[in-house]
Amino acid sequence: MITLCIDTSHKYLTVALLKDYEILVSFQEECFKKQSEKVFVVLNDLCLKANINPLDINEVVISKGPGSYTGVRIAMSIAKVMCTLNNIPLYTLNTLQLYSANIENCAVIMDARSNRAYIGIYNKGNTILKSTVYEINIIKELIGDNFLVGDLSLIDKEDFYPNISKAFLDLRPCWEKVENIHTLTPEYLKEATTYMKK
Amino acid sequence: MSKYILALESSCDETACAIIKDNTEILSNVVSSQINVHKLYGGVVPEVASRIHIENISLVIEEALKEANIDIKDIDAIGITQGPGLIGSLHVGVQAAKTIAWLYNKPIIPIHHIAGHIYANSFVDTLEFPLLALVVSGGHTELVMMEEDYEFEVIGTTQDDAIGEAYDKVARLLGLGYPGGPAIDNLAKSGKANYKLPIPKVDKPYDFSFSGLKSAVMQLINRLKKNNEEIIDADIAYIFQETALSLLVNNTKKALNDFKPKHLVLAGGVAANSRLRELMQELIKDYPDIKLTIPPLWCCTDNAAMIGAATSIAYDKKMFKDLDFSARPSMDIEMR
Ligand SMILES: [Zn+2]
Repeated sequence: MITLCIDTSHKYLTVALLKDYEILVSFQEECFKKQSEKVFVVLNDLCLKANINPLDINEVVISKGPGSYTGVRIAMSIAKVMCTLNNIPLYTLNTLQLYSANIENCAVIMDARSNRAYIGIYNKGNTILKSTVYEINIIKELIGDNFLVGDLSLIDKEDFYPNISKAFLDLRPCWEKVENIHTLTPEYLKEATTYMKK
Repeated sequence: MSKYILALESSCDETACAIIKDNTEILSNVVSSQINVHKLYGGVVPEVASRIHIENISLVIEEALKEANIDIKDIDAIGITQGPGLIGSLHVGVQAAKTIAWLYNKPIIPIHHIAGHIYANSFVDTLEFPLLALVVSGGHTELVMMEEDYEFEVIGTTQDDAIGEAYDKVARLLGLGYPGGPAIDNLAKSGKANYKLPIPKVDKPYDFSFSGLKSAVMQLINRLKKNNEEIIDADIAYIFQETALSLLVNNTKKALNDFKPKHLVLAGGVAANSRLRELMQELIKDYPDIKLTIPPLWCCTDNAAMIGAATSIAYDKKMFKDLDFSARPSMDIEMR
């Protein structure tokens, strides 16, 4: 069983190939806004290293947001087309849930711009607080004494991100199977109308 | 051996996939239009457009393959609109196209959207070179000279708004809704030459300008209001359309005289305008040696078949690219 994992929803590009319950090859690098150019170079590279033909991949798992809109849509475009054409299953994880990486009592914070952030709280992948967007001062009240992950510079701490490939693997029980691949859309948490030109 | 191209287009508000056999045979041409959504907003909202593209992309590809009754493995190459267009919208199509190319190890060819509009004409006529194309749409107003296949030289362009944009803005002034082109074209049919509008001036011989024309319409409406005169919408639509289209006709005529092409083609959404089609047919009467092609309505608006037609030519020229290219929202047609 070969699994392709992709996360493009934040400033990192993460791609991993899993074989059953281990990571065969993986890539995680900061490349904000360069993911769209880089992702297929990495895919080619990893397949070559692992000696895998893309058609040998049996399933795909991606993060579905919230996060960078353009970013989230990169992995989702690839996954939707690939799983449709190859007729293989597609799984998703909420991006914040993915970043909580199987840690106990973990609050994940991610920049949502304009003085706002996404927050989600998880206990070993299980949702305690569903991902939501709030103003930063409210976020500070919500974190409690949870372990903190993400864009922590927003709350005057040092940013911290886990190993995403490992997080994909460890959170396997939390993967959500997509029943209808065509109708899958990212989790934006913000209405598109917010972006209407005035 | 036949040549099969799978083409994708997602530069603005249509998510589209087509399968083209041997340059001009359309096996399928699936278009999922967002126009009804954008009507609600009075125009295309980029983030809304991107969201609808990601919703539709896998479905249109599946539909196109099914309709063409072809296995993806038998496709020879993938063509994709690389630009110009809305960045978020382009991204979705580019990733989808690369996915197919990567999975099945097929060559991929990034295509300029305007090249697609021009090659749409090859579905109805054999293109003859040198060729002059008048490209008119919501995003473009260009005169493009082609000495031969896939050699583009932009000899004239708009200095401000595209003609389709001007139509939309004037339609909004008249409360006609979005898209403005068909609404004004229709209303103008019952209009008379009751008003006058100044003809916009430009420095370069084949260039266009439309923003001044829109302001002039606004001033005209304001003046009529101030003087308590009746505002006859149909007459405003008429004079706006006649003035705007006369710019297109005059520049095209100048280019025909100076460049002496063998073939004149219309391209883009505004090529569906009934009055422009009429004016072009009149113009060409003075040039018996030049062939005129006006594309049928179905291939004036954005679709993937036209991208497939352009891809077919680029395929013969082996214009394949590695998978590290990116969407280019302000791509230049003259560049390779
Ligand atoms: Zn177009």
